[in-house]
Amino acid sequence: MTFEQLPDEALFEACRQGELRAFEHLLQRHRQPLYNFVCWQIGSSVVADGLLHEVFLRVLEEVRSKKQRASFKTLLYVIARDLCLRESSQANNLGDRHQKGPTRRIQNAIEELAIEEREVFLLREYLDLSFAQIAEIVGCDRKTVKERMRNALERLRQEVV
Amino acid sequence: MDCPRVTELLVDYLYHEMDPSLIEPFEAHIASCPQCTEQLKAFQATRAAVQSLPELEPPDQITQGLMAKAAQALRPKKTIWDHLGRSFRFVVMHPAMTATVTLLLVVGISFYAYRQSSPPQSAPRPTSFPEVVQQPTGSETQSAEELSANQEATLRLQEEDSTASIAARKNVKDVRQAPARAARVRAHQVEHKVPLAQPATEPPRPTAGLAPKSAVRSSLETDRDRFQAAPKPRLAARRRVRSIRRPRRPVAPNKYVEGEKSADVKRYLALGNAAAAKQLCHQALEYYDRVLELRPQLEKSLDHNIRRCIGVIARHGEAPLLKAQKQFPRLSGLVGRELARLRKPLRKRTKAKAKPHQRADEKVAPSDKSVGY
Repeated sequence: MTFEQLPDEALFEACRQGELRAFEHLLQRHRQPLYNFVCWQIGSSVVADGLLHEVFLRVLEEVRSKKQRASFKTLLYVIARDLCLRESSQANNLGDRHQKGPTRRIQNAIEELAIEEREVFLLREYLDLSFAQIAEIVGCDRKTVKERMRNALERLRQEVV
Repeated sequence: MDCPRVTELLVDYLYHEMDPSLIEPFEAHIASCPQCTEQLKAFQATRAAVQSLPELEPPDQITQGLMAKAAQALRPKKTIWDHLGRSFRFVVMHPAMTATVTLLLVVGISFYAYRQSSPPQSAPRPTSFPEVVQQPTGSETQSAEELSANQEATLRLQEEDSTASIAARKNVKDVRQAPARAARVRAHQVEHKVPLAQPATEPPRPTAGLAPKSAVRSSLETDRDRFQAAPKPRLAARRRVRSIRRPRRPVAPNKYVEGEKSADVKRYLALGNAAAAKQLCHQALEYYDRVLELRPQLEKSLDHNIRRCIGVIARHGEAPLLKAQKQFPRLSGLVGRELARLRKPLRKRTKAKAKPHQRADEKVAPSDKSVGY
């Protein structure tokens, strides 16, 4: 079985055995969705570059720490969410990745969402995580997550439709 | 199923997480309720609009940097068995050297053990009657008085002999008399069958000014201890030289400002966290100072980077610059120039711009211009 077919958790274990290729596959698999999540969450691609780097460095620390983890995706987005919260509390974002045209309106609408609603929306819409997984990452119950998702959709609907 | 319940389940339906048993009543309600249908359609349209947004692509250099970090981090740590295996390989690859070292070790240890187990030379000699004279069988009949009288006579003669020997040592002329006297004593002893006795007060042997062996050995040991305890200046010097020749971190110029640290500095500046940027630049200056200490020839190529760092630090006023000037002697020239630029009053600077016919020394040199982010 090649690395492409292995699930994230198996690749993570392979990383613990010192397999560099396993880490490369994890990186290739998750870098783009993670980058999109961080970009949307922070609103600045310059900051997102640094955060993406930092998230994977933290993953490497986790590889070395030998702690048992249930799901790699949960671990990844817990780290990413923590860093995003830290970053957004430290500074106001610059919003440097705006485009022109009709997408601009959607971008503004997403950025104007409350941060709790935005993170749930991004995790569900862009990363296709289940509500249960999102609840685990965010640290609240599934019902609250659904509530936030519905609110987010409601607000976006007012802007888009 | 009523409308509030449908609104509650709407998100589950949209993202295909609904309980299969609820799908049928949900769809039945949607078909009958125009409000709920409208809401569902609006949500579906919103999702479609959001999904039409372009995906962002992360820069490639992040991946490359991360792979380099991972190669370092995932390198397996060497256990004690690895080290043992390595030394065993050495033993197998160098049999002659191993045999020699083993032989030397065995010889050294056995010699040391032999030296430790041999009795000390300074043991006291027995002074009373070491030799037992075989008495003839008829000697039992000899009376006790006769024996004691004989012994007294012998002792007297021995005293004479000892005084004579001392005198002989003092006076070379009397040396010849001593053996004659000793012969007389021996003849007397044989005649009266007195057990041969060492004189009770034997004078110490002439040792020609040498200390006893045990004393010599102990003084040697203390000397050796003192030698071992003393610092070895040559070895220390050699170590210092080695540390200068091989720096622990490989020298990689432009690492701080051109590499990922540069991105960090930019990021911090963009976020308005100038203090963190200053700290990074200070670290970078520390690094450049070390680099210039080891490779002074890199001064020109590092000049631009150093000036960029100084430019960032200069935003915080003179104090951090003065600190940097004090801390990094090799960069003090560049820092000093920046300091001079800061200290120059603003009016003078603007004047210099305003007056084209000014003396050359008052003009702001183009190199004084700080290069910042």
